Amino acid sequence: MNIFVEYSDSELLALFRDEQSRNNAFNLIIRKYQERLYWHIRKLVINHDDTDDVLQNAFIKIWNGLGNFREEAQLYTWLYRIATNEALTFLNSKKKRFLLPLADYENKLANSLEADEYFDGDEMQIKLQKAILTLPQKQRVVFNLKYFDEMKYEDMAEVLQTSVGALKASYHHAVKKIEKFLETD
Amino acid sequence: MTKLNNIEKKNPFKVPGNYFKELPSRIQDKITEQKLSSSKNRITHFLMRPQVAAAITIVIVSLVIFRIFHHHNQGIAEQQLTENIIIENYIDENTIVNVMAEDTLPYVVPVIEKDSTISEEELDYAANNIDYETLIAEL
Repeated sequence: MNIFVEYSDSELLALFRDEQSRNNAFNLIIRKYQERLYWHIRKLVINHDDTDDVLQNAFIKIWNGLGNFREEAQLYTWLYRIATNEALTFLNSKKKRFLLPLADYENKLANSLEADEYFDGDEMQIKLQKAILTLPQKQRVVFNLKYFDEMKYEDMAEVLQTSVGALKASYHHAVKKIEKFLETD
Repeated sequence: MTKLNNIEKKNPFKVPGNYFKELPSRIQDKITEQKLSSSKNRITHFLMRPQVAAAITIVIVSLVIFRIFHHHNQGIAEQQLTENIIIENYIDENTIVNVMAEDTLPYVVPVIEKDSTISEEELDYAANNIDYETLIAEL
């Protein structure tokens, strides 16, 4: 018997609002979303240790902000938005710390893949990740959410605060660039 | 052209063993740490507020002034007490000396009045011929 009953988001939020069950509710939220958010961040920052830091910071922000969360938006898109912002802030801070253009930092990440003990992809997977890392930051987020997470455009619009039309166009351009990279490299 | 559809869609990344099992408790620990440090910060921020800082300064200055004033008054009181003690001691010494002088005078200088009716020879005779039995009987 599974001891972790799968609560709906609104049930979790109701539990979180009650002072008595707040800690337990947050623990359940972490358990429910940790993997999805981890993989989303990991595909952006690539390295496991960096992902771990970013994810923990994201959950602390979620804890601090969840009391003010209004159910006008879906909980999971709000969680993705915080995780995405944390990951992009992290990448920008890395760029500033190493005084590198972002493209150079992402090139460094691409080259680190082969030596990464927590990367298990074949040659084609490495090539695909390198292709994704050539995309502009926001386009990478769009591509990852659509291609890997298979998120609906409507939900992506909530996460990225962009129109569905702009997202469709962005994804289309991203696919073209990636296919071109895969062909020429 | 290589199509994305031709590539197997899979997650090529891995995590260390037990990572997702341990993550919730690590995050909860961090949140507890944050709560503790934020309560400390709240106290520090409260103390750093201008009104609070001014109130604390006023209390400290008042205490210092009170202490100086109290110390000064206490000094005067102690000085007066010391003077009183000195005077009392002085009086006591004089009184004692006087009392002692009064008390000791009769013993220090015993006055033996000479009986002019008894001659030197009579005294010598009496001294050389003491009747001890009569003397003891009289005592």
